[in-house]
Amino acid sequence: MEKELEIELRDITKVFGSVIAVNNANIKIKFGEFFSLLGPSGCGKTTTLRMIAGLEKPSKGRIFLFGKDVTDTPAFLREVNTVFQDYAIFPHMNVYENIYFPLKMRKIPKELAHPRIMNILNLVNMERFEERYSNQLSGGQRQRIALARALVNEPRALLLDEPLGALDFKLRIAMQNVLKDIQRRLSIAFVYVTHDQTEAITMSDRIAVMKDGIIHQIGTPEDIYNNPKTAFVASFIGEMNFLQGKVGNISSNNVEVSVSNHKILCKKIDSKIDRSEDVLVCVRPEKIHINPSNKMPNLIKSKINRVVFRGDDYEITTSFNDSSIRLVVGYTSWDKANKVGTEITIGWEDHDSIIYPLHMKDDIIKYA
Amino acid sequence: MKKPRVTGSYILGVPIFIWLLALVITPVILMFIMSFKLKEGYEVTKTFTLANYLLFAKNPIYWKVLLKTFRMSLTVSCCAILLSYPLAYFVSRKLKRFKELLFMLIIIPLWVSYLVRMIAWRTILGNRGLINSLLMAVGLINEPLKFFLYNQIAVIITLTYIAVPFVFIPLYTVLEKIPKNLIDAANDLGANEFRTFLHVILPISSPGLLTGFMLSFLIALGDYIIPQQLGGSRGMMFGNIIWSQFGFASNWPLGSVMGFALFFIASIILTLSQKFGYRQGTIE
Repeated sequence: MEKELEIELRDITKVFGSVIAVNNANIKIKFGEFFSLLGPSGCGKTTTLRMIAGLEKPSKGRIFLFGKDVTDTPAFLREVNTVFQDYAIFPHMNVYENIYFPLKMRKIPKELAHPRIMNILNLVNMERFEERYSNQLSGGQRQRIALARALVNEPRALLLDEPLGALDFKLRIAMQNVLKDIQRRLSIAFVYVTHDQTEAITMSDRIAVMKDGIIHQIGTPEDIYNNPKTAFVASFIGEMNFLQGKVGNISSNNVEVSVSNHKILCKKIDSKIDRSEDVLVCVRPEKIHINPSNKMPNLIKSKINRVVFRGDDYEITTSFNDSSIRLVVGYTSWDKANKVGTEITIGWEDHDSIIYPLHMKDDIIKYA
Repeated sequence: MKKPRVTGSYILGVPIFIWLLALVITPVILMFIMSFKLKEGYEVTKTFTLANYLLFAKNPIYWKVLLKTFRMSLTVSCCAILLSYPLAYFVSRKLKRFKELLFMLIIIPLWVSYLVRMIAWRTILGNRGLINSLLMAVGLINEPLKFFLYNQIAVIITLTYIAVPFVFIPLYTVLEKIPKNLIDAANDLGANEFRTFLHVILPISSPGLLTGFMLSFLIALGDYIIPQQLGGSRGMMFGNIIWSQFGFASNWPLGSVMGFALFFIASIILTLSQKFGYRQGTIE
């Protein structure tokens, strides 16, 4: 198992003045894995990436690349390359010279370098662009050149710092597929920094979700989506409803929480929960059914407050007493007779309700 | 007849055009015209002749001094660059807290009168100046060394000192603008600090380098006060010869020929260096 570890961060901490940018990070990245560092701006993901690249020295902890301790090795001697957020294409060199640069640093002669440069240009579909300069390329083209330049030396792992951030939506989706395809073909580990949770979920083998320098959870996309360990992770990935209530009966199968005078059955969690404790109750909008035909453990009568048409579905906001819940109904399933003010029954399974301690409330990512 | 439309943006160019016309183009044209006239006693004739040009071309001393002046100006520029580049590099890229302070300290000499700075150097280099006093105090010499003053070295040192702020500013400006991520990228791709400097920083800074070179070259080329005050007989530059034609020798036409010769050759050098100095895609 140890032999499969490409990149390892042990107790990595980075402090800038009085700010703890990365707080005791432990990460193990495997051979050929697409690993994402996901989190909001300022969570420390870019700093972590830069420490792997060697562009930043950790205040504490050790970094291992391919089995070797590289904590004190400078960036230019590490076998990883980086694709930077704003591409960092050398403006005084054309495309060919940019891609030749890493080979030149390795003292590879021109005759041997040329076929490698042409191959990599072919891989990113940028042949015939050799003579162009950075200011003659579009954003997407620059991004592919940055990628080519980082790959031409055949690094053992590639680090990418929000490489698709500046691209428009459709181009971004296309480039996600290109990146994933290249990663599979080259079979090298990709460490990918992003704040876009959809991007992370669709591309990654595993994700580390970070906030304020702390890693909240590391797991596969399904893992993180279905079993978020903290309220922050639950709020950051996908859509989530957050309710507040008091714990009632605790049985072997589930936990009963009283929310706005309604009893809600929730999934049991690992950590200790006491009776009468204040907790957060979370349930994903798509897990909620409207006027369900079969019996569900959680059934609540609630009034429709808002109906938003979203193209392929409807987002319905309802309320019962002083709690508000959003649910999603597919286009064909929605009965247009249900208008604002109509009372409907909503229901969901007990294992779809997740509980968190109330103190996690401040970590939740809220968007107005 | 159709009246040409004058748009707003063209009007903005009028003041600078008038300034150039009055203070640059017209004097040069007048000087050019003057070079074809002849001197008689204290008067200048209305004839048109190439006699002055022949006089200038035939006299080997004039050419010797002209060549020496070019050589010295080149030396001054190189010295100024060698001093200013590390300084600009250090202040713009390595300093965090005292950056502006250091910048001001380097620029402040420009606020002091040129003449005052020049006299200061004459004192520093003199028999009782800073250098000799220091050497004598330490005991390395018993009598003041005379080779610091009234020769080419004194002129070059003083001109370099004058030129440094003019080289420092464009270099600093260019170096400051280089995005940090380019340095990161170079490091990441296998370049240590020296190779990053050689392959990335130096080429990108070449416009600033060129501007600095041109400024210091021009400053040194036409200067006549410093050679006159600190140069003695061995430190004479072409500017002195021109100056004397307009002064003691009172031969304005010949002086105009010389002035125009300097102007012409300097223009060629500057145009050539511009053509070869700028590369495609450099950061503006």
